[in-house]
Amino acid sequence: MYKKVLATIMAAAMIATTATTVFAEETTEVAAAEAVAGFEAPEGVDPSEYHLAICIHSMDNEYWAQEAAGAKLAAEYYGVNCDVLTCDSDDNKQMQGIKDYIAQYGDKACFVVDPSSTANTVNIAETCDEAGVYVSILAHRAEGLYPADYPHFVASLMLDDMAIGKATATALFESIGGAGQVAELQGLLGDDSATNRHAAFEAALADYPDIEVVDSQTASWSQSDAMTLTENWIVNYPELKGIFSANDTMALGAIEALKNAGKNGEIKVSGCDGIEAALNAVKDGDLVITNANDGFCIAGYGASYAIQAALGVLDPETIDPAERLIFCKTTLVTADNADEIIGNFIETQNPGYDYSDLGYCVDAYQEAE
Amino acid sequence: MNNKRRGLLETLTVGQQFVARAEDNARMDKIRRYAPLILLVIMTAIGGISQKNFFSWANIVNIMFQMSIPLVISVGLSYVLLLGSIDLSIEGNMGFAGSLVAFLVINNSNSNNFGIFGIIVVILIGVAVGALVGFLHTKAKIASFIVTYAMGCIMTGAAILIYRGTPIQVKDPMFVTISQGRLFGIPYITLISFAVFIIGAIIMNYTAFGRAVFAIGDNEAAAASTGINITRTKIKVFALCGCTAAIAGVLQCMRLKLGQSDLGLNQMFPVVTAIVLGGGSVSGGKGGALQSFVGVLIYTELANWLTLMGVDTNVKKVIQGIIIIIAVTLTVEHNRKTVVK
Repeated sequence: MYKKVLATIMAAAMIATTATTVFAEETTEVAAAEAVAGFEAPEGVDPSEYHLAICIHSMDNEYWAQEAAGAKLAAEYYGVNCDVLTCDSDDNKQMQGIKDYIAQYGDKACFVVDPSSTANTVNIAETCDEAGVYVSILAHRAEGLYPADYPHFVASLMLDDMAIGKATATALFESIGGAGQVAELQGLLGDDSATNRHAAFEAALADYPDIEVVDSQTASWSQSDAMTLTENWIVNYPELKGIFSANDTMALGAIEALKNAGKNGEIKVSGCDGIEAALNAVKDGDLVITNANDGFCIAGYGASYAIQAALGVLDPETIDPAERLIFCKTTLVTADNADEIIGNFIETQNPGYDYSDLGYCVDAYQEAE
Repeated sequence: MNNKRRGLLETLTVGQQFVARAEDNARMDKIRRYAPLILLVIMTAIGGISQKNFFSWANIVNIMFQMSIPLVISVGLSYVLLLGSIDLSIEGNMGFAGSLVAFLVINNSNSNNFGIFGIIVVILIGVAVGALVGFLHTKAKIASFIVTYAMGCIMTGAAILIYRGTPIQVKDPMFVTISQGRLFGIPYITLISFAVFIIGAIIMNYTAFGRAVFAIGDNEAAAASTGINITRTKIKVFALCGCTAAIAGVLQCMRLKLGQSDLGLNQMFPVVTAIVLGGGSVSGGKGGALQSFVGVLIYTELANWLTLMGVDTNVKKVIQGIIIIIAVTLTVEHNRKTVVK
């Protein structure tokens, strides 16, 4: 008898713990009939029966929160329900969340996933394909994993780190007149974004023979490490004219060091990612350029691909395989457009994208060489 | 001990041998006590000789800036290490203090303007959190590294809840003044850290509480038998460490002007290393405020020098690790305990 009670309690506890991975956050109960004008579901399909899982790392990072907001906007547009599943960058937790969601909603489930790791993308694609639910995977893709090999892996949407890094580096070089001493703040060693952005910096250098790189150090994405390095550089390289930073947080650290030394504006800094503090720094003229990675675009359109496939509007197998490998649009932010970006991305939290126009998000295709 | 001395020892009686050994140990102890200082002088000399900018005033100011926050952390952490415990909550505590203070002073996300009162509240919370850790450690008998790790997680989470993912930008002119201001060329932040250090050193060396901490670290049972209240002393030590962690968090926020949990990240272990470099011990009973000061200075100079040298970033960490291992091998006393934990 006791054993039975105990077993029931254990079972209840287990269900409760798995259920907590699903943030049942503001499920959008928008019926198909009253859905936003513009999208009409095909005959006999009721979008309100469908459920989109937005799988991200966590809500405590600006960019991931922006991805969740973008995917929610898309779900609202199509009139499907949505839930945010967080995994704290844990592969197992993310897989478990996906499996639980499939168990709950069956073939009425669809997914937009920012994978916990590059390696996990294979598991995600296989699991969803076996269950017959549609999925878009953002930001990472394992070597050799192609949507064309899985009927239900609709599309891979990534950011073109190479193009972005090259553009911010080029803008920095131009701001110092294309010549002089520059230092580089690298991201965490071994991280693939850090590696790509470092390669992009080197690629941009090739076009500027008069730029001399005096030092290149990792600040491990940390603002305080970047500040310390910059303080030391200011002393050691009095001729320093520019600092290339692989992300905004480190760029903000460099700016604080420059302010303390009275060199702000004299030495130019570039960032990347488009966090709020950096957008404000661009607006104030402290930062030459940053790139708004635009979670509204990548996650919103990523969700749209999966939803359209689930609703039967889009048949992934009729798309050219190369066109399922997308580099998403992002926006370079300079003093000219900082106000507009802050308005769209921070204040209204809605850049007003038309999520029915899937082609809009495409900047380039990943393997178009 | 060389072979000649060993030969000599064998001709002595047991009693004489013991005395000779004790004298040897005392002599080695004396050398070891000054080893960190010698190391500091060598480090400084190498820095000055190899880099022309090392002794420039601007670089000295940099070193003062860069040692301020580790120095403040070391004040509280020295006490904890003297007990033979560890406080892993420092980073979470710092992140929380920095995030909360950014929230309370003039900032870009709300209309708060509590100024100096905000800072005081944050530091008091740090003390309370430290005291709670000490209470759980002594009363609930949870090992210090477990309870402090858990508290660190709680504080990091609480910090993120304050700013909800978007770090708060500090706009308070007071913060700008403190982070950029100088008195006779010395940064205000450094002066504040020196003040914290001096208070910490006085408490450690000239109060009954300070002596009790040394006694507990050396031999807890013996300390208890002399009437020292172990529980109360330990709670005070963790409260003090929470206090300095909160001050460090506030100072870090002043430096960076951005309130987020990351500002405590990777701040603790370098300070533990620095304290050991200065002659402190992680198993308790050895060290002190001055030793910690010397250690922090050695560590900061090393990091500064490696950047000035322009060492490749991949090689830098390796060199840093090797130098630390060599330095600790030279300075730490090996024969006190047979087992190294």
